[in-house]
Amino acid sequence: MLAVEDLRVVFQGAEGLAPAVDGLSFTVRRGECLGVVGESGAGKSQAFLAALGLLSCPARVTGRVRLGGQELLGLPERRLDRILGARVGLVFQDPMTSLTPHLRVGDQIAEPLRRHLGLGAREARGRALQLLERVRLADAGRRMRQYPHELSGGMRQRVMIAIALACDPQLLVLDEPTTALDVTLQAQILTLLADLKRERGMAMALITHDFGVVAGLAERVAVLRAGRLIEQGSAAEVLKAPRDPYTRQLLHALAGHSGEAARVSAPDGAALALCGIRVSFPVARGWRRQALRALDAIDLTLGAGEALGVVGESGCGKSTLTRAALYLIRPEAGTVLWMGRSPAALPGGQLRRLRRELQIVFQDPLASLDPHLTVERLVAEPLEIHRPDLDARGRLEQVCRMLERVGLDRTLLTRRPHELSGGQCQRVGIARAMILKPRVLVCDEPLSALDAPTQAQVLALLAELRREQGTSLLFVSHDLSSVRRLCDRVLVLYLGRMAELAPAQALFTAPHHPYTRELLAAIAVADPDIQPARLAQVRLGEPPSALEVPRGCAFRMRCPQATSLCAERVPDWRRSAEDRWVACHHLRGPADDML
Amino acid sequence: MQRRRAPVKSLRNAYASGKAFLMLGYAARRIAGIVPVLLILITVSFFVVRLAPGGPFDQARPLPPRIRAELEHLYGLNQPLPVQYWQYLEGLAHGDLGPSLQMRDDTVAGLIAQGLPVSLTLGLSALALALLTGVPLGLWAALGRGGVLDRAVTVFAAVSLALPSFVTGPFLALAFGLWLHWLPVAGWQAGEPRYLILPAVTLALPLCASVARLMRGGMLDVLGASFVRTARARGLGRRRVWLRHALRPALVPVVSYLGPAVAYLVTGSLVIETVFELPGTGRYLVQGALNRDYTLVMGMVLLYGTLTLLSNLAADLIHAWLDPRVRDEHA
Repeated sequence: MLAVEDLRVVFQGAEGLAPAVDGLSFTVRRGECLGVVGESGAGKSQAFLAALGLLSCPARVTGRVRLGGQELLGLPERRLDRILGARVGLVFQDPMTSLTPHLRVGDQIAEPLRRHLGLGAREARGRALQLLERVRLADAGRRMRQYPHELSGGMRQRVMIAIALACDPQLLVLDEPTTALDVTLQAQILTLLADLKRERGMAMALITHDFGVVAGLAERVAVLRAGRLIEQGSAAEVLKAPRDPYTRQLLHALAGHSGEAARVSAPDGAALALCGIRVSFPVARGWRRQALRALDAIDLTLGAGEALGVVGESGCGKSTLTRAALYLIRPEAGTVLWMGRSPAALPGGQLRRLRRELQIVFQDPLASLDPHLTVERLVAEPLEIHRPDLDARGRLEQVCRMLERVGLDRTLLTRRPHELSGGQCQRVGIARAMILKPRVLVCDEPLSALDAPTQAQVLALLAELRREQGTSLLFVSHDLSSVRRLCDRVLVLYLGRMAELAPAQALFTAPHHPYTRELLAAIAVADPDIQPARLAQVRLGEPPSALEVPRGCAFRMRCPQATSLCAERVPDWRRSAEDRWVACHHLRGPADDML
Repeated sequence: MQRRRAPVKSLRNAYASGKAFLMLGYAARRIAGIVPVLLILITVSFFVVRLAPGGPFDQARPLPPRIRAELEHLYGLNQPLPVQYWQYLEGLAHGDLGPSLQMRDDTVAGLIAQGLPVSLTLGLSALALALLTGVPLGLWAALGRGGVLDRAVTVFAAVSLALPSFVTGPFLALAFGLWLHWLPVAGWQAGEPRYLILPAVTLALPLCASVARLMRGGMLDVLGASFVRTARARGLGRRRVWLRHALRPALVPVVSYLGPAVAYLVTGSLVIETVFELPGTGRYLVQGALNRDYTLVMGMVLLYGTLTLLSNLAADLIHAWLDPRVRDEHA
């Protein structure tokens, strides 16, 4: 269906440098899905955008791109426009920014129908509605009239898919279609794509950095690095017996080694304790003001030297939990204790001195560093504030030692954040947090902006620092596998409430709460033998708005085991086994753990 | 099929009208919010004007004390300030801006009624001219980025912004009035648009340059946005992508500039009305301030304050119309 031969892309102004895509050849056959895998900057997206004439920067594109026998390169724009949206459908990564904000969803789906198939307004609207129903968008009739910002990320991605499918294309190009979504939503979207592929028999190109995503859909896999093809073959060959060391490295980064994180010291004396924490944000709705309850009834202790993971879908209150734990937002109810002392009761000066013991690493490494400061100033800043006894030389010495510790070269001292890679920025963020040797390090999604191999490196660094300095970790992530690798215990949050708390190993092998089970089932496994079957069992559902938390158990709307009791009473937080706590009426007994 | 679609349509209308209703509530709240702002404006300017040294009856040749006392009594200026302030507010509540202290045959309201039509015609036509030329110029420049037109627009914008209107005005008058005899050099006749053209163009020139630059920048930003690429990937064709998907969000910076633009028109019209001898309100502000004509200054402050606030409100409402996300924030 699509045959690409010797594709080269050289961006204008970068002629001297290596081309973004360098002599790439591959084919996508009818009814087949090709997974295109590589790190960011490998040229995966650029290759497809260039082939379809959609590059946003001027570039020289050479080679041959044939769609069903027709050469696409060098085609005048008007002729290309008749192919795009009609014979080729595209789905892009970020559903938040990929839909036109001021046009209604229904009109955006109708657009290609009217343009390419010449349908009238009414017919097009009818077809659009059918398409939305096909991509399983709940309440499709109402959604048609809404604007993109009124839809959740998962819904928007369904709309994107509906638009791409509108004219029944022969080829569907999916550019990181699930990267911006939660695990559960990712699994749902992948299931939908698998269904569509089976039903329509169209060719698919799935661009992703995640082998797990590829495993469930693709028959063949191509691995790219720096614009070149590294390896190509059937999914089973590439994923199970990779020939190229680079592929092996990528796969290894993903798999990692679990259960390695042994507790450093017994949790004698909590480094951080949260008791009955409740946090609400006021939300204006027209004339009325409403309280959005971000966190409720949070009871948690973080032992000295312990690593505690916090997981849940976006909007479940993970980030709010980190802010509340650091007393950056004042909880509405409940107490925070740092090493047994309440920050609420401390006078300003003492509070600031105690803050030095609790540091944070943020999600977006580039955005969380001041762009005007050099690496040296960035890492030295905490010392300037908390260690007035040090002179400039002493500070520099410590900064250098710390940089070496996080694996950054001395030559980077004078660089500014935009001159660093994402991974380097995050190392600077960690150095900045760890230079004061805090007792507690809070990490708020520290890996989500990084590539898989970089993720593995940063994760290893965190584990090492923890082992050396005995720092307690509060590690917030929506990525369950990294939590599994790093943490001793895991807390599962759902809509601001605690669903389950258990030792990591036990939680991942035998989850007690139905929500935990759903989260675990949604993890994409990089094994083409297992993953399709896992996808087939994914359940539909998204968390409701935090403004409309259902009565009783918050999870009951999505729960396969829900009964009338769940609608009546909020389940108690109770002990289900040694070291394990769960909030569910239908607690599974120890016997079920054996399953 | 016909029957199935009918309820959908009515649902759409109900949904849209619900939103429209909420927006109406927002507009009403905003208009109500103008009143306290104006009150603060009146209070501050009332006392500042009066605390400034000199008064309306100070002249190079001092008035005889008896006449002066008589005048002050007549206009209530011998009363304590708070009393004067209260009396002024009372007058305002009845729509009375008071008599002019210098042009003693006229009331302030009368002066404004004479001058405002001229000033408003001038200001609105300059604004319309600036938008009608600036928006397309900015668009062309953005779409042909780096090309000849883009560079021409950039140079034009820089030059028009750098030249003060007391230079461009007389130059245009010289060129089109004295040399070419196409247009009158100065003056005003009601119902004769020929007299409007040169002053409006002079006033619009820097505004047009600003609008063109904002439009260019806005369009370039939007063209790099992800949703524009998605729209192109639907094969909609450049023209449709630009006009239907990119134009509206790209207009946002221009719309935000409407408030400051009206403020510019107000100050700009002072110069233009002097250069082209137009009988507008601009000169009253200058004369009133120089002569300590308290009531006239207050009247002008009130007029221009209201104009500025209303134009800011208009900008916000247009912004909400352009962007449904803003609409929802307000509603």
